[in-house]
Parts: sequence; C-alpha cells; structure tokens
Amino acid sequence: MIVAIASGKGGTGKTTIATALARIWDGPRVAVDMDVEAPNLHLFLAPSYDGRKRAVLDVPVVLHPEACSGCGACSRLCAFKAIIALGDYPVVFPEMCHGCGGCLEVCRRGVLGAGKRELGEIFWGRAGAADGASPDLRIAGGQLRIGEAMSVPLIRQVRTKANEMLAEHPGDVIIDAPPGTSCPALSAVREVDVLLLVAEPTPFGLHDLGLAVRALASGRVPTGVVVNRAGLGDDCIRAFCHKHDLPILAEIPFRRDIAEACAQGIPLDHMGELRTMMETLARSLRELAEPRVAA
Amino acid sequence: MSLIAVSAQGDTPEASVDPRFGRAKGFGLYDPSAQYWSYLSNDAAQAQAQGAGLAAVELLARAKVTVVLSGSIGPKAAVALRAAGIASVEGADGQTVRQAVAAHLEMPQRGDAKS
Amino acid sequence: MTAEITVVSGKGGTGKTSVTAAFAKLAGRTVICDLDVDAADLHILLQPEILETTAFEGGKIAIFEQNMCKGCVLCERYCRFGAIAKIDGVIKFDPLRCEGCGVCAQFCPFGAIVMRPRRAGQWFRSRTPFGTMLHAELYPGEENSGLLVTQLREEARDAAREEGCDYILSDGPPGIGCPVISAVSGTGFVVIVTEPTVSGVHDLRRIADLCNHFSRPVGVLLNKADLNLALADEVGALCAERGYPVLARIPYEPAVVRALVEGRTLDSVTENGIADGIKHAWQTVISSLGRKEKCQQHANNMPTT
Repeated sequence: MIVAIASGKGGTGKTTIATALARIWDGPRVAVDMDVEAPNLHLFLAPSYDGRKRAVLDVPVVLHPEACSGCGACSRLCAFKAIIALGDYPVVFPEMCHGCGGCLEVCRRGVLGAGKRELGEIFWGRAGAADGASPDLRIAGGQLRIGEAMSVPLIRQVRTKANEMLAEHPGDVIIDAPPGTSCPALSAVREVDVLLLVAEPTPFGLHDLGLAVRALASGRVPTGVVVNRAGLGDDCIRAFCHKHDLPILAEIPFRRDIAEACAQGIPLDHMGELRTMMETLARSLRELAEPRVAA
Repeated sequence: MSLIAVSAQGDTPEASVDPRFGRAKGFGLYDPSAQYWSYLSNDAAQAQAQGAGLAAVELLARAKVTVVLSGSIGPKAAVALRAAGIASVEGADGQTVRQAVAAHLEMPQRGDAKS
Repeated sequence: MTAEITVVSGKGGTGKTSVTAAFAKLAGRTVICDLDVDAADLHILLQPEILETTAFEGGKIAIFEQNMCKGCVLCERYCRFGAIAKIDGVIKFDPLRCEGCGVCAQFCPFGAIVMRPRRAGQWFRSRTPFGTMLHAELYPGEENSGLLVTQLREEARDAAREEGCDYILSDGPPGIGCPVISAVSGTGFVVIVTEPTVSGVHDLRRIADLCNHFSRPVGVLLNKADLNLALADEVGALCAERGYPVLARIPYEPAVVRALVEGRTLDSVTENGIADGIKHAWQTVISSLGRKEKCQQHANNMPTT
C-alpha cells in the first residue's frame, strides 16, 4: 500500500510523522521524500546510501547557429519563451525550458541539438535497524538544485526510482509530500491508497487544511487527519473534520518537551506514549486503505 | 544607423515613458538621422503569459532597434538585449518619450528639459 | 524608488506570515503582497477588503475535439509529460499532467487539438488599514505559481508607484523552487524566518544559497529561538559567516499562538519581549535599506488599531 503524508501549510509536522511511521511500520517499505525543495526525511532516517544520481531535463542547445534561416518557428512554438529568434539566430534560455522537445521537432535545419539541464539529484539507500527502528526500511528522495525552478520533473524521477526499488523488492510506500496545494504537492500524492493530512489548530492551519482537502483529497482516496500541536490554538480542526467526515487518527499534544525533542531530531517513537500513538496511527492507516488495496 | 526605442504608455512622443519594459504598452521609435518618430505596439508581448520581456526583445530586434530606454529591464530581457546587440538604458521613466530621447541624445529641447 | 522586502523561509511553518503581518503594521504606508499563492494566509491576519478581482490565466491547456481525432496517437508520441495515453483504443487526456507546451496541437495532422488559455486562479487588489494589498488564490493543483507571483509583484510595483509608497512588503512561499525564485529575484531585501530545528537549519542553508545565487541581501529572523540552544548557535554562526544580520531572536512562546487565534499581530505580543524583538527586526531591515529616517517618520504616523 502507498500512504502519502501531506498538508496545505508547511511546518505542520509532515516529516516528523513520516519519520515515525517509516520507523515503526511493519514489513518491507520505502520511505520516499518528495519534498525536493526542502528535503528533510534523510536527516531523521540517517540512511546509508546505495546510490546517488544526477537528475536532468532535456533542453535544446544551439548547435549550428550558421544554419539558422531566422524562420522563427521555434520561438513561435515555445509556450515558455525559452527560445527566441533574434533576426537570424536563436537564443535559448535553458532555465525557462519545460523540456517539451517541440523546438527540436520544428527546426528543419538542424540548428538545435539536445542538451541537458541539471534538476538536482536523486538518492536512495537503506535506513537499517538503528536505534529501535523496525528492519527493512529503505529510503528514496531527491534534492532540487539551488536556482532550479521546476520541482515536478524531479519529483517524477524520484517516483520512478521508488518504483524501481519496489519492483526489485516489493513493499509498502510512505511518501513525505511537499507542502501546498499546487502541482508539486499534487504530483506527490497521485495514485496513493491513503492520504494523511497533518494540520495544526490555528487559523492558518485550519485555512490550509481546507485548501488541502479541496486540492488533494479527491474523494476517491481514503483520507485521515493528524492534529499536531493539539491544544495549541482552538477546536477549529476538530469541528472542520467532523463537518467533512474526516477521521482524526491521532492528536499529538502541544508540549514544549515534544517540540524540543523534535527540534533535536528525536523521532516520536522514542517518546513513550507517542510510540503507542504512532502504532495506532499505522494500524488506522492500514484499515483505511484496506478496501482500496484489496481491490 | 541608430534607432532608439523608448518604452511608452502611449503612441505619441508626448506620452510618458512606461517604467516597465516587457509589459510596456508600446515603444516610441526615433530615428535620429531621419529625425523621424514612429510607434511600435507591444500588445503581443503584453499578452504573453510569461516571458513578456523576451517577446519585447524579439519585437525590437525585428525592428532593428539599436538602443532601448526604459524604467527597469528584467534580468532575462537584459541578457536577450545583449545577445541581440541592443544597448539599454534604465531609469528613463518619469518623463515623456521625447524628453527621454532628448536626454539620451543630449540634445537641447523645448520646455522643461530634465536637469 | 520603492524598496521591496520579501519574507521567506526554506522550511514551511516557521512564522513567515506572522512576521510579515507585524512588519506591515510597523511599516505604516506600504504595499503588501501575499506571494504564497499556494496557501495564502496573510489575509487571515490583515482582513483585506477586496476592491478588484482579476482572473489569472496560467499558460495554456490542450483541448481535444474528439470527433476530429482519427486515433493516430502522434500526440501521445510527442507528449513528453505523459498527459496523453491511448487506453483500450481511446485517447485519454490528463489535464493535470498537461504542461501547456502545445506540441501535440502543433503536430496533430487533423487539427483535433487546440490550445486554450488555462484559468488557474484569480488575484485581488484589496485595501487594508496598512495599505493596498495584492493577493491571490491559485486553484487547486494548478501550476505556474511562479508566473502568478511575478504578476502580483508587477501589480504591487504599479500600486506603489501610483500611491508613492516607499515599501513593498511580501510574504513569500516556502521552499526554493519556482514561486520562491519569482518572489526573491530582484527584491531589495530578503528576510529569512527560520527556527533552531534540524530541518530548520538544513533548509536555512538552502534558501540562503538561493538568495546568494541571485545576489540578494539577507537578514535572518530566528523564531522559537530558545527551543534548542545548540542549533540556535549554529544559525548564529552561519549568519556571522555569511555576514547576515540576525534581525531578532523570538522565543518559543504560547502567547504568540494565542495572539494568532485572536487575529492580533506579533507587535502586540508583549510577553517575553516579542513586541520589542519584532520592532527591532523591522528597524534593522529599514536601516539595512538605508532608510532609517523615513521609518521614524512613518512610526510616528502609524495607524492605531
């Protein structure tokens, strides 16, 4: 089964919960960090890496400017203004290119060739059974290059890598999704069996949970909510979940000692009653996903 | 041969300089050798979802402009202007197109010349 | 010249929006911009009155004329985004995967595909007690948030020019990708809000590297500063090494959340020196921009709410 942990608002505790779930989850599983802009899962799972790979996007390069007739077909086709025609030669802005390949197809004079833009890197490895984590935990993730704008193609490559790992050795998948409700978050929660939204009981937290439910919880995917820092603000999240028929699967209390432990990187399953809470959460997620996984 | 383009909020030399380059309403063109004014609409670039600045550079390159005066020019447009061999001057806003050209040519002009 | 100040954080949830709202109040007359178009929250604190709503078209999307399609699947072959697939003899189009590149439409021999503008959200021009506010709503799952950010910034600059405002104050998105790049490129000063946590420090480095990449001046505001002293020191060392001023160290304080729930901004939280800290931070931003005097003048004319 595939579980994705997401939230509209950032900093609600997605990675903290993904870490704990990954550590206590029974059986073989891959923890996948799809928050490639701010990847943090590896900080808490401390994996030994089996590999790293540069992730690239195919972009055009000007190979033969002298062959250009100045027809402007490439510039007219490019929806992103990544290639412009200046009189009798094209200029490419590779960082604006989405990699559609259209300019290479329309140029009849072989002016353009295939080049690469580095998106970042993807990495994979195993977390081992260090300090009390249950064994057979693998990790895959990606890290966007500084200055690179497009995270979605990198997220897709992380997903491909995770699929390869699963093909090699099947297991469950725990996805740490990027925050927000636009394309990166959506591409991370595609085709999952259960969605877990992490929210905090503040006006911002409530507003962004509403956005996340609208954007990510399509109705077809069973969805549950974890309230983090419960007791911090007001009762708004509970009321919202009740109204939208969303089960609250766990409530992590707002306590300074928990905040301090999390700041230091101590996983929740190291904290007495929170371990039990995470185990219950894992069971609830399996139950929620069951009709889908069985089908 | 030089041809000066000024980002403009209207189609006459008395229009104000448009402080924006890519999303300027249009460009006032002045040919110093012929002392001739004309106007180039930037509607197409303005309507661009993205890369308005680059579309404007294409427009100016096709018109064989050699110098462009504007308020501020984005970094990508600046790169494209250099690639097209078009010189650029920023900070020309706050005056009319005619005044901007005059200031650029350091030509005496009627009325309140920009000090 | 108007100075643009953009508040960001690599990691989400560090307190960007709370800081921006407090700055907006301290700045007096300013143009305020919510560039976190993906999960805009600033309006919750500033309660803007919407004056004008404009549709946002984020690029294009392919529209299939099924009756003209001959099923040649040339489009499937050309689409590099997996948005088109022939399943059981039928062409299936996935709008969420469509990047709007138009290559399918270009090469369809039967003219069965046209590209239409994609309505991806809307943006608002609003009034707040502290100045004009520009904010937006991106529809769920839409892309081109960077483009929307760019448009909001252009509108903000126009508004600042019209109204003669000295500052544009923007609440930026989290992360380091497309919308963040659009939010920080060319801005006058970047305020990074971070926290002394393992993730906070890691993501601070990434957003700082991004600001460096675009040569933007940076100041760092350390929120929840007393949560972990060792990591707080690490943030301090990083700032010293890179020459970033530490704008304020705001302690971990439940009163901050109470204020938020009550809709109050940080400059009203007197507990634990928070109000003073945030005022000091704003002063430091202003003096970094070399505008100390103007700030004084504004502070005297600050609207009282």
